[in-house]
Amino acid sequence: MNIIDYIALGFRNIMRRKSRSFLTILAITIGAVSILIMLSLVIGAKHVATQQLESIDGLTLVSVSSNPQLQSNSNIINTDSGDDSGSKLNDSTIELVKQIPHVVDATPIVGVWVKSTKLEGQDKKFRINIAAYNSSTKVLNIPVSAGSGLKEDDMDKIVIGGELLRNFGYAGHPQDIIGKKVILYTQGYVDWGDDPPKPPENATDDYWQNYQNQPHEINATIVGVVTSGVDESQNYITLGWAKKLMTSRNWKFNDSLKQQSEDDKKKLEQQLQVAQENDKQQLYEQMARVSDSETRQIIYDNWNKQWKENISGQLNALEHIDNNNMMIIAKDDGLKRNGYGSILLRVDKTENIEAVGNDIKKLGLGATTAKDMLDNIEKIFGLIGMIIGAIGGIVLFVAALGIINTMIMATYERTREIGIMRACGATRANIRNLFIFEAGLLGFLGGVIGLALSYGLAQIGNSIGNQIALSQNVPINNIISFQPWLIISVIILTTIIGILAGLIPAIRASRLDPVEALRYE
Amino acid sequence: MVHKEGKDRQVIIQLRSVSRIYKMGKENLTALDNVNLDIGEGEFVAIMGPSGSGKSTLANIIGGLDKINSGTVLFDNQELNKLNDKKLSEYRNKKVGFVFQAFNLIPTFTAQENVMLPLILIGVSSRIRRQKAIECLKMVGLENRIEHKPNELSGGERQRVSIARALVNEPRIIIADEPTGNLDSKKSAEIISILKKLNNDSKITLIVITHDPNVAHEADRILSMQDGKISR
Repeated sequence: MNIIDYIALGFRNIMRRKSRSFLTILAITIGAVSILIMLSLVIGAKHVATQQLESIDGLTLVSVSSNPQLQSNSNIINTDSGDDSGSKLNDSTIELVKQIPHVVDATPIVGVWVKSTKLEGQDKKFRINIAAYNSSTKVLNIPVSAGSGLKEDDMDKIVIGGELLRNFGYAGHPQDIIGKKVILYTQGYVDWGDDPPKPPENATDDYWQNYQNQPHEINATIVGVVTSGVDESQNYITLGWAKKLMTSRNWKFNDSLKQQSEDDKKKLEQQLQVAQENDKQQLYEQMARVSDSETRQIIYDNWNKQWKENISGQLNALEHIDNNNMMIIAKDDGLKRNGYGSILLRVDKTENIEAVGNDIKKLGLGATTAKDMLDNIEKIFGLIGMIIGAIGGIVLFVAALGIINTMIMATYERTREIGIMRACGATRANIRNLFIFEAGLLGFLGGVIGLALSYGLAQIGNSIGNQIALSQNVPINNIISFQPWLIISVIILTTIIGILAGLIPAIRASRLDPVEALRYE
Repeated sequence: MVHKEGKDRQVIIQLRSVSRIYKMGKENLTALDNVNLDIGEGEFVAIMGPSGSGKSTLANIIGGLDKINSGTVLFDNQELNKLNDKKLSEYRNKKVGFVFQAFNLIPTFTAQENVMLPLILIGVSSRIRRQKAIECLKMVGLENRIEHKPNELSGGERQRVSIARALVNEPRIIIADEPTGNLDSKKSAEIISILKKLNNDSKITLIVITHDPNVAHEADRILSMQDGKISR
């Protein structure tokens, strides 16, 4: 019998029981959709991550951290803050690391934390991730799609990423936002912008508490926009300015001055005590002129009282004057204190990455390569993929059970027909193949419909996925992509599942005794 | 050679000591008991007998639809009982045409498609099989009912579709099991005349099981069966 006839008959028989066939096919469709989307996610994630790395030429980058045990970050530009528990990464570390063979250049990477930002003239505030690096090194070249980018010694200039561009409402026309100002809200005062106000003399503890946490506004001009491929949520400033933004300024008591005033007070006290001693001569003379002891006592007490008032009065006056002068604005260089969060290296060739990584580890530092990152992403998504894949597999298994059930019912219903066909000369193989084709067709249709459905869902899923990814600072967008081989494989898979499910009912049907079958009511 | 009413025929079907036994639980039911039979090519044989006498079993065995437990069945001197499923199916497809009491048409096929069924099974091309089906439907007078489904046809028309189907592969034998059982007398007469005409014109061997004496009357030979045996 022709294959075309098998397929045509199979299709017709499926159409005989439309609702039942529809439900059977639906189960396969659900399984196919989940597997398609899952695998596409995994493939898409790796593809997007690789793409992002390549856009900043990231495959020869190595990120150095102070912690050799560091689990690789999701971003090769590691803006985690310095680990002030262990060894610090500082400029001498940079020099050290530049000596490693095959290292072309090195730059510190600093993540600057600000509370939020808004565009001047707008009201809505947004979260913002800021990274700073030394742009005069040959390590990173962040490609701008508008504006001129950062110059080495720029202060209060910023290059924004695609996420902020979108949030500010300039998506699609980045040129229009160049030159506009953003307002950064820092926590407390920094070594840029206005001076912190001097606290009043009798400042309470509460005042000090609130004082530390006042958000403060800093302006920055947008000099560039970066959108292609790279992490959209990252925004960039120069290293020099970052240092200033990470240095906090507060009014404090000047300790040395304080010490000085204590010393002065002591000195004065001593002086006055000496003066008092000297004055005792006069006291005795006064007391000698009086004969009765009561009056002498009064003279003595008065003298003591006067001297006491005199001393405390002078001491207080001194304190009063000095308190005013004893507060100064103190700077706390956070960057110096904690060190750099990470250092980014450029290696000359990808073949040398491993050697460089080993050398870094020998220095007691942690090294993360682009490959490590890709492996990490693959691992994470591989795990997610496996879980969803298992679920999809279970769904397909249950759907296969549905096909078995459907086919068994079909063989019961068509027992007489089977007898008729056998009487007309159908072999057992004919009967068997007829049902196998029917079952395979159920699987095939499930796969095809699943594909169409997946395509629609992928569009929706991509836009949702983009939102989620951005809020988690994971540099991934448009994560679901369909490869042709994947599509074909899934359809083949569902068809084979259909065939396998239909096998036993088909063989059973083929073994029916024709005479019995013809008698079946 | 079989001599019958002066006509010499080649033997087409031979049964030698054929028995067919059904196992029903603990008991054995003997449907055919040591049957011997010769049928000549082109003969019109009627088989009569009470229910359970083995008529249908005999017909099924001759048609290759049922297997025997002992003895030999020969078609054109070829042993049917030694054929495998493929060869036996081929025999049924090409040499035999079945006509059943309950018509046994596929309800979702049109008349034409039902007639085409034996040709579909052996992979005859679409064009040729459609043509042949129409020819056969013409032969039974149903050229106006080609696209009708069985539920759109009367009993008599359905039976004629069955006959057309039985003819489509130009068989040597037509086996009809109570072909007029579900029809009124007028339709029955029509059916029998069609069969008779086929027998006369194309020399197709005709084996008809029937209760109807009118039908049996038309045959060249009448076999009576009882308890699995042929009596005369």
